[in-house]
Amino acid sequence: MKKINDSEDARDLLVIIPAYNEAASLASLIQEVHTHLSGAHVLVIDDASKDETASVALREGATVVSLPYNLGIGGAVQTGLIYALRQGFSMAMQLDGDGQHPPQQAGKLLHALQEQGADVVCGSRYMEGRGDLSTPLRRMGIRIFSYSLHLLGGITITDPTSGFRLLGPRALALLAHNYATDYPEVEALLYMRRSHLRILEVPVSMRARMAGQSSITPLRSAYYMIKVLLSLLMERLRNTS
Amino acid sequence: MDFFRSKVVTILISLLILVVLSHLVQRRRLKEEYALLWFAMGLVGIVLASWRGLLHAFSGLVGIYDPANAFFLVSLLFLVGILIHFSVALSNAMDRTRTLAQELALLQWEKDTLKDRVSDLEKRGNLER
Repeated sequence: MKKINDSEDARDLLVIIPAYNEAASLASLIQEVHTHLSGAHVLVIDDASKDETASVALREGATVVSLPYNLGIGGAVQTGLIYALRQGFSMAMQLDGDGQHPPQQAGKLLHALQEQGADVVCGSRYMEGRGDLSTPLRRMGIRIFSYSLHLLGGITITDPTSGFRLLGPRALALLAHNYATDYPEVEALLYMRRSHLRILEVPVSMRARMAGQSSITPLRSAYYMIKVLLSLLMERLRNTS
Repeated sequence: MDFFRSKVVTILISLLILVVLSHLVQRRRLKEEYALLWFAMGLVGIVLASWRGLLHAFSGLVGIYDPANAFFLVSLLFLVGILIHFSVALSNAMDRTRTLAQELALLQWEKDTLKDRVSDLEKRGNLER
């Protein structure tokens, strides 16, 4: 068996990096992906950035799809999923453009997917509690999401807002067709759960963003909380076929 | 006398709304689909203003003492209905523009890729010749 964190061979894997004004951190992030996930195809979704995001990504050998106007992270990731499906990839991994998700840890997700037969593997900051754990206030919000998911879907997810995810073929096909537009991580979990996919969490450590500005403000966080809780409730009431 | 005056004012306002709407629809500035609820509101305004018996019966039915308030209630319900209709239409339009944006971005990528490949092939063809 291969050692975890060694460079993984990942020819069927598409690494989707949604990026909005991430020119500063993108180059080293893409290099890290090439080092730690050799063979994986890197797709940067440039979400109508105002900086050099697209040209930096191209220079590093990534495929770049540029959106005509800003769709937000959900719309950007979904674009990547549609691309993955049409180009015949069997797995897709989301990696945030700010460098929060260290590609060294991606191997863990791949291992879990291949060896434990899951449909989705999520990286969790809180299973082992190492690395950057975000602010106390945000942690509280995350805990509320965890509890809601437990209540509404009967799943135990320690880090529901983590975008560090690996999707297998079934999850890929499901989400390419139906994906919430903004702040999609939590809703997607409940949706996948209710579509009878197997969801698995593995411990990872994340970093603070490498450069650039976060788009999250206190007011937006409050809006985010309420919006996600509402859509979780709605998702629960919906009939899944 | 005052009853008569308010009746005339209400009917005139309703008529004005109907005229503006038909003008907008005629000049294709407004889609029939969205004008429909507004038309209905204008017509109901005229009917309730001119047929006092109906308004009185209605206010008695829902237990509102003053018929004028019953009239406001009906108008308010129409406005709420129209606004909900707008929100649904807007959500629908947002979904569609998102899909369009995604397809546009993917097609753009495909076009650029094909263009590069064609110019590569042309270069190679020239060298062979």
